[in-house]
Amino acid sequence: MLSQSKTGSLELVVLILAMFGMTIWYAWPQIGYSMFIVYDLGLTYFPSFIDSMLKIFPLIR
Amino acid sequence: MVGIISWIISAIFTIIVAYLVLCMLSTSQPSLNLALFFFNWIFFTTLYLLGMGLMGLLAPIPIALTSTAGSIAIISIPSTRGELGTISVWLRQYRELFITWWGNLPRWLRAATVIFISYSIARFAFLIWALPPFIWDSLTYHLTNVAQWIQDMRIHTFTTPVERIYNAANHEVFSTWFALFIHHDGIIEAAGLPAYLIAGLSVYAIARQLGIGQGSSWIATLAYLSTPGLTLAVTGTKNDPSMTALYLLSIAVSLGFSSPKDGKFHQKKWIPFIILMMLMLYAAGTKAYIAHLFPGILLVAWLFAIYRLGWRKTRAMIKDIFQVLSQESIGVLFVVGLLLASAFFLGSYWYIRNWVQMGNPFFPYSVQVGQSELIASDIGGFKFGLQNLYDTFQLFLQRFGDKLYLVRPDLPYTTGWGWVAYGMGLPAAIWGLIRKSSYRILFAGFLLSFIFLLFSSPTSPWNMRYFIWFPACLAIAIGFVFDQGFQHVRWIGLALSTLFSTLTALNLIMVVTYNTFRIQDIQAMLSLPFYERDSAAFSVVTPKAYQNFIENVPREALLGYNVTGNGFVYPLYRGDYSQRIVYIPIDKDDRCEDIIESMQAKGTRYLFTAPVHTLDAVRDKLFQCSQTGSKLRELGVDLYVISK
Repeated sequence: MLSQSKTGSLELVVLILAMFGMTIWYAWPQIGYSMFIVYDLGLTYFPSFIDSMLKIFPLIR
Repeated sequence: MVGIISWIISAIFTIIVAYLVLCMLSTSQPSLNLALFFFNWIFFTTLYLLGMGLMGLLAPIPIALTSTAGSIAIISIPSTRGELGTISVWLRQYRELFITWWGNLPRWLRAATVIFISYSIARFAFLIWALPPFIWDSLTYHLTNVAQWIQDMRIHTFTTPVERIYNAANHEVFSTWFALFIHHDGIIEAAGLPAYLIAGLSVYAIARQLGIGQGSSWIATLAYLSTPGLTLAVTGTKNDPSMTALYLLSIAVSLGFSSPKDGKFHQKKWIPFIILMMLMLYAAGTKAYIAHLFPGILLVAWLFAIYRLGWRKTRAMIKDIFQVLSQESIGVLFVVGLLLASAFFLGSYWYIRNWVQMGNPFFPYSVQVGQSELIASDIGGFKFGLQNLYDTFQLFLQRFGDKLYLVRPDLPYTTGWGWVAYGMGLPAAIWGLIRKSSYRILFAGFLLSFIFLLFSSPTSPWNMRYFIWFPACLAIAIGFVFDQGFQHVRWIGLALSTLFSTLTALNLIMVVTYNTFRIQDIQAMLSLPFYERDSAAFSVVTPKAYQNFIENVPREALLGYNVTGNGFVYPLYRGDYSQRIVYIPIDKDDRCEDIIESMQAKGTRYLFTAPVHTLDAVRDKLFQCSQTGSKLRELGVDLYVISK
């Protein structure tokens, strides 16, 4: 029973390593695309959103 | 206000009918029942609107009146009234099931679920509210149908150079429900959301039927629902998410033929048979490629029956389907007959209409098998053959891994399967194929559908959008791995859950926006009031000519237009469908007087053209006319008016 469990664990370790490997393979160029989106949202959207909100407030009577 | 009240009344009526059909065709699997409820609602809403549209009654008040009459009729019949009384029991059972289910989930999964659902709701709501429809095919033909039907209060064909308005259009009829009552396309993108829910519930139902535990089945569901190709397409106003949902639900239902634990399914095998017929026929009226997916569904049903029941019992079960059905009461047989007749109508109407009107059921497409063309057409069409399989498989290999391009809603040069499917799904699928016999059967079915679709898929840059159901098979393999992982030492479960959470988060980051627009483009739309966020005003999608017509043509005027068979027609109706339009055919050899005469004969003074969407020769001709003393003068860019 114990050896069966060990075999199962080893099998899952190999599987998890394969998953990490595939993740690294998929990461290029996806990570770049995702970083671009995060950059675009984080550095462009929120400051300009706040900016546009500040411009709208004086118009509200 | 009348529109909103009519919308609520029609919603109540369609929900009541969907529930009554569910009472008759329910199973003992709660997740599958929930998916079937949403399918019944889509099915009946489409049938109802198609019927009203063909009678020329596609308007809020006639629909409100017939919905009220229908609801009163249902309430006055004692048997249906009795069934309706069980709604509260049904809801209570689901509440209790949910509480138990939620309590059984690991804590990290509960946290991940809350984040996933909150994020998805916020993202879907924002994109639906902020942006107008923008996908190319929607602006050429999908939504052009919807706009013209709403204006005319009738579902019919009309004169336009875009021949693809003849395509099977169940999804467009269903989408009409989201725009008809408010006479505006502000939330029409929400028409894809029921399909998203069905797809998720179907993956869960499949996983549970394969014996995967509740927590692991839910992980498989989240893994699939995070697929970028699916998430981006859901609010894209096209019919591919709908086809995905119908395919996955068909697989879930087909497992019911042989489910040993499912008492009701086990006794009444005709129930999955009838549901499957309804699903297949509805899908046929949505997109013809269900015919290529069907062999995979059949294989799953057949192999699982043999795997679980053996040859002899499988043969006996097939005989039982019809024998047990024939022993049902007259009332049941009548309703079953009605459902099948309705499904046949939804599945065949578009093809019969095209056959009668155009002499080709698949108009405007050709049908080619091998080297012989069975049905001819100018714009090409369905090709079946080994050469096509080879070509599309080569394209698939190029797109495998999403290395060529950013993942976008119509999937140009990409598969859109995302981090979870590639990172965890593929290794899990290989492990599942080695370790799990039930997974081998499921995979065989998905693979057969995949190959059959490659046989006939077009070799266009966007063809992987027809395959966004495939990652569901990889997600279910992830469910199997978690089931195994939870039984082992703690750190294995921890490693798997950390990887899963990270990759799901990366999938979610990938789809924050459509990856098509700059934030400034979205801000530009947000600066407009909700009712003015027309597709024509979305300058990043439509050329300046579309914004020019909004500014210069009065809403009450009839607008003449000339675009090619692949041009944007939909934005010309405006978001509130207030602009009437008429097609003005122009040949480059026409004289200026001929063009003016043609416009006057159609009752319009205005003529719209646009770069890319109108032939340059026609645009040049019109410009010449405006410069050479004819009555046609230019009114801003690419817009012409006949002087009074």
